[in-house]
Amino acid sequence: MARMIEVRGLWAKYGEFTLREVNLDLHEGGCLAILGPSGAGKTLLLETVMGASRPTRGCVMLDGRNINHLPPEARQIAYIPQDLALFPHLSVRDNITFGLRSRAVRRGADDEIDQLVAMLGIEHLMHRRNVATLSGGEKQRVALARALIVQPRVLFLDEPFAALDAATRSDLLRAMRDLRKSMGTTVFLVTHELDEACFLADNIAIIMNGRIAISGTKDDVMRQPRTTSVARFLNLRNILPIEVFDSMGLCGREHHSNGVTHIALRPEDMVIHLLNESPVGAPRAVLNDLIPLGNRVVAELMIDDKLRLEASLSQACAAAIKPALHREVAVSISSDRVIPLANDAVSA
Amino acid sequence: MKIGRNLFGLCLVAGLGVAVTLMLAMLAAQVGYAGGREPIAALGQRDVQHAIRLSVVCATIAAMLAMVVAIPSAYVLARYRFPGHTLIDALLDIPIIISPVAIGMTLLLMFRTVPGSWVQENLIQFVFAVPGIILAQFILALALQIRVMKASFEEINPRLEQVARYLGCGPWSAMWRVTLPLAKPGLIAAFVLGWGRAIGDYGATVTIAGSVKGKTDTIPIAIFLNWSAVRIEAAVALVMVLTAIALLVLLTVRVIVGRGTRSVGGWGGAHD
Repeated sequence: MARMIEVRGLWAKYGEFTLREVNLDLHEGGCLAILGPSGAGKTLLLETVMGASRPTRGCVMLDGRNINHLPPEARQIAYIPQDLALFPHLSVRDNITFGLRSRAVRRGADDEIDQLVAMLGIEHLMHRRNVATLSGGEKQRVALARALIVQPRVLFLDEPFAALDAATRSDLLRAMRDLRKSMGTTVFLVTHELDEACFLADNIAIIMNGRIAISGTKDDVMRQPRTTSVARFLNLRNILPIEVFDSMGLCGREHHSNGVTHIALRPEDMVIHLLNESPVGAPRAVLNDLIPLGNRVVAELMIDDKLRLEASLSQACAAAIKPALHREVAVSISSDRVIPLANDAVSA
Repeated sequence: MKIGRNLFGLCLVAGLGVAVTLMLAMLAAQVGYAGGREPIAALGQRDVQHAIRLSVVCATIAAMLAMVVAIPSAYVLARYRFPGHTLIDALLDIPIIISPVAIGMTLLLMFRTVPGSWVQENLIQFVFAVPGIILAQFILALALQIRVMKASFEEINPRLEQVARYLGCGPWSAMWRVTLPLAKPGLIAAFVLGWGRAIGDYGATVTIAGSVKGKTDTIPIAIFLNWSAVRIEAAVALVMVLTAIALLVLLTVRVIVGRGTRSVGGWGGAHD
């Protein structure tokens, strides 16, 4: 697949904050999600890539062409900011067709508009004169229609689903994914929601303190977060210093290699056994609590009164070990499910 | 407690009462002069009509020219931060604070400099001439218009322009299709206020253009000239015209601003 956007050695500054040495690729028809905590530099990165902020070093290439000096209107991209920025003086129809009029598109535009608004389910809103009276989800769909009607080379989204309730957000994420597939739109998404990124994106880059901490396919990043701070951001539980892990005797020492200082154990990979069924040598822990969480149950474990671990169990497993609540159980994990991590200070 | 509450309410009403009574007394004094008949008859006099015509024409030209400068100036001050921003912002407010006579005097001094004299001799005669009236009124209107327009531009979410640019608008087109329509209430209010400020000026106009009867006598100057010549009915007629203009301007601005606050896209207005 051809590279649509290439970011090479990009540096940018906003006040005291600096974005450092960013390298990214976004393929045609793909979706790259930039994830990161608040203040990590996500929006500055998005604005620099799309040209709203000037880079201090490096370049952004679109279709193999350096676009650093191209004005916004010549970039053939569309942008949906977090507040959507619908034009309050225009009707819903005029908002949606704004880009067509700017780009003087006439022929066949009506059919395309009808098709797009039907896909987004907003035909009934087209006669509305005041966009301020739309609901959050309706505004979102109108903003999407306005951006997509101009068939942008890349669609830039800056946390566009952040202010929506869970049900509306879920509906819109599905609509967005379907539209992306049917229209083949290339998407550059900035979000702090992991599930949003996983749902829409093929590739993920995690930004921390102005640097890309990790990038790759979403499966690779989720499977192998590499550093402790990325693992913490991805909400991986059970992050332990490697010495502590060794002392537990959960697995052998095959995870030791250069730079590995910690390991992470996913709660869903942990197995809890009643003592009479425990594998030989499995460490023991006290089962402190069983907390129902949707269709899973979180088991809180304590080893040697100092080390707290979490395991995520199915309802059936939780029912099976419930008799051992507040008593000792055995804990095990498959060796290939252990995630080795480097401390960021070491890897940097 | 109850006495304190009553006293508080009494003080508020008393303050408003004094202000309103004073204004009404001034208006009543105009209308009550000779039953209002003589001043109304004076409106038919040629010199009174000349003063009204000159004032309206000069104030309209000055306010329109000032808008051409005020819109870009206000936009730059509202949208960009640069070294010297605060200084420039304060500098442009000077005509709002200092006496109009001082502005007129400064203009006179400016036309005594070498480039000023050259302009006077080779381009346009400002001193003791009608262009001088327009220039003085332009400066007074400009400061007010920049202030009103800056506040109006600051109310508009800059992301609207940014999104318009990515949807294919150049900077002119984004300004024309997004910024100016959203700033329309501010634009009209700025023009009307600037026009009102210009038409009511005496100090700056009389200092640079003089008080030449039949030539540079705008309404305020004509009021003074008629008053000095004890032609009270003509002076009162002009005061009534000026008062009516002031009332019209102020009501217009209030109606426009009232509408504007309901329609301008504020910064955080995009979400429920």
